[in-house]
Amino acid sequence: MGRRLRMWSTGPGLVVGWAALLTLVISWPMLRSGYVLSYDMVAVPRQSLLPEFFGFGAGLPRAVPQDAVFALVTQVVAGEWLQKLMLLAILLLAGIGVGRLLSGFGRPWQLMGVTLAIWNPFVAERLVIGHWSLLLAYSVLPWMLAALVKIRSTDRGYIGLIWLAATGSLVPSAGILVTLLVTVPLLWPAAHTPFLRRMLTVLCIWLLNLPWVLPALMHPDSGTSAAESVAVFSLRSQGPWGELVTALSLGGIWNSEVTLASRSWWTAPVIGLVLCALAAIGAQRWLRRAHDVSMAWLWILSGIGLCIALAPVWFGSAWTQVVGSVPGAGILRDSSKWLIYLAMAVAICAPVGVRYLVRRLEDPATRRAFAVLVIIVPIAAMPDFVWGATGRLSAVHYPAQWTQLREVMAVQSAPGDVLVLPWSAFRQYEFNDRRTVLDPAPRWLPRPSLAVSDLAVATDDGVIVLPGDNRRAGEISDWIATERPLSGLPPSLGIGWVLVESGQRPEPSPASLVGLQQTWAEGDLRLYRVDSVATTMTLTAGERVVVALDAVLFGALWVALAAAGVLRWRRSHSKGRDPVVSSG
Amino acid sequence: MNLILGPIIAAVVGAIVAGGAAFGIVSSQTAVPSPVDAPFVVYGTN
Repeated sequence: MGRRLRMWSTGPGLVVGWAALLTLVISWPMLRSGYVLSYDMVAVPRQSLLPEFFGFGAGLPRAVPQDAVFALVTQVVAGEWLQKLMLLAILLLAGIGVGRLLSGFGRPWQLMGVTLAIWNPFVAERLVIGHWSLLLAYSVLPWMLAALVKIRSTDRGYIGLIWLAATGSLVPSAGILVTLLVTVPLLWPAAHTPFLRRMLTVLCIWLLNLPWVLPALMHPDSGTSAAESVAVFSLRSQGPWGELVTALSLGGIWNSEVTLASRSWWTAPVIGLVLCALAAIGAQRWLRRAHDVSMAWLWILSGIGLCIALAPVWFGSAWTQVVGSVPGAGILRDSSKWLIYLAMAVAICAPVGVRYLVRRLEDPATRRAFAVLVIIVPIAAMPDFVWGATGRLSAVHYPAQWTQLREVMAVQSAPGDVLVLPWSAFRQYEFNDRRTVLDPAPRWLPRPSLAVSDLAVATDDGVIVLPGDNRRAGEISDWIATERPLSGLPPSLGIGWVLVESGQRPEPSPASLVGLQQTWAEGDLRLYRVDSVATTMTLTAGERVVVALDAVLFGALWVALAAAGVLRWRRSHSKGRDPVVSSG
Repeated sequence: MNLILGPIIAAVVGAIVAGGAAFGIVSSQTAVPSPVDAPFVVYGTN
């Protein structure tokens, strides 16, 4: 009993307990019954396995394989529980991962690392905007760093690293960020591990990106970005101190609505800069002791990421030219996303820097007080992250008609995709306290649907409509703009049904619904049948091959996990555990 | 001396944190959203 108590008060249990406490303080409103719906974060009870979730909708594969994985898992687990598990895992994994990396430095510095990993502006802003897959990549970074050290020193842990990379590669940008982190440390010469094995691991991790790379290559759009979108999505200064200081303090997301109020306090830049300076001292100490290639690479990537984050500000039109003309460079436009490496580097190294400075203090009581202070200062500097960013992230229930819609649609035999109106990307539902959220209808429906892909953004130059990459949606935009009846849509567009969500802006004009047959209506939802015989969109042979490859990749990962589990179990019966990071 | 100093520092830090948290929560609820010079998604105008 006494030993167990000691484990929780002074052992690793304290780190896990502190991470769990911070996680609960942030996520408590998200854990209530229901779904968290905030900007890009949409979850539904059960998502069908549709071609668009594998990257074969009419638009570029932006949420691939995230949506396919979500659809697959919700066949057996309710989406509500899967979403809660993901949100908890993000915060817990990030906190415990950093705490574990700092295990050789002492308990207070581990706790500070846990705090910095969980309670920082990068995590807060990305959580409110709903980029949970990007945050999942963030949360596996410390575990990947530990795995890289283990591989380079003991020639073990390859499967674990591949699994971590798979977990962190659920959307294209996250896949690139994760792949970049592992490639150089794995290929860098290491004395005790065969190069071929490390090379094969790099290859496997690159292949994890195929589920989105192949559909992107098959898409007619080149993955460039409209010139005006580079300026819109660039990093923003969150106060009079400018973009550089905002970036160094790990904030600056483009959408001002997801920024916390505390980001404009004077404490934000001051504490951010102090933490960066401490992290730089800590990195120097870390690298001097451990000669850790992966940590050095994380810092190089932090510098590159900082430059990418600030490129739209520093290089303006030249950067716009690059993102607008180089295929695939559209992935760079949401520039503050690239602060992910710096956020993790600061969380790991700032505690090491503080420890180095605090050890010079003579008085133990002052040392202890200082340790307590640095553990809680990040929380005090951004207190409005508490309680789901003070209520912005709280779970709500969908009204019953959404479930009925899915059931009604599932038994319809008439062909054609569903056109979703109003013709705008985001919704503000009463049941979600009128918080902005991406339209959930495409995820609720058991058949492919078509929603607008243009995005309207308010800027100081007025409202800018950023053109989407969905050509079918573009044709329908033109049709809707002329207020012609949707019943006359050309069959080649493949629209067999129209779903109207009442009470959302802009309400479709009555003229556009003339000639449609109302099939079902309940609450705010109305379903119409388009009489013209729609051409059913089917997958081409090439697209089928890619879906099959996805299935093989997913199956191979599960087999590898099972094999690794068996091997680990056998090893644990013959050898002890290896140290993760030596601190000196 | 140290026996007194520790609780005093803890009390001061605790008061600062509690005050900061209260201020943060209240101001975040009453803050004017969207600074005019920063973009945000427009709901339902396109």
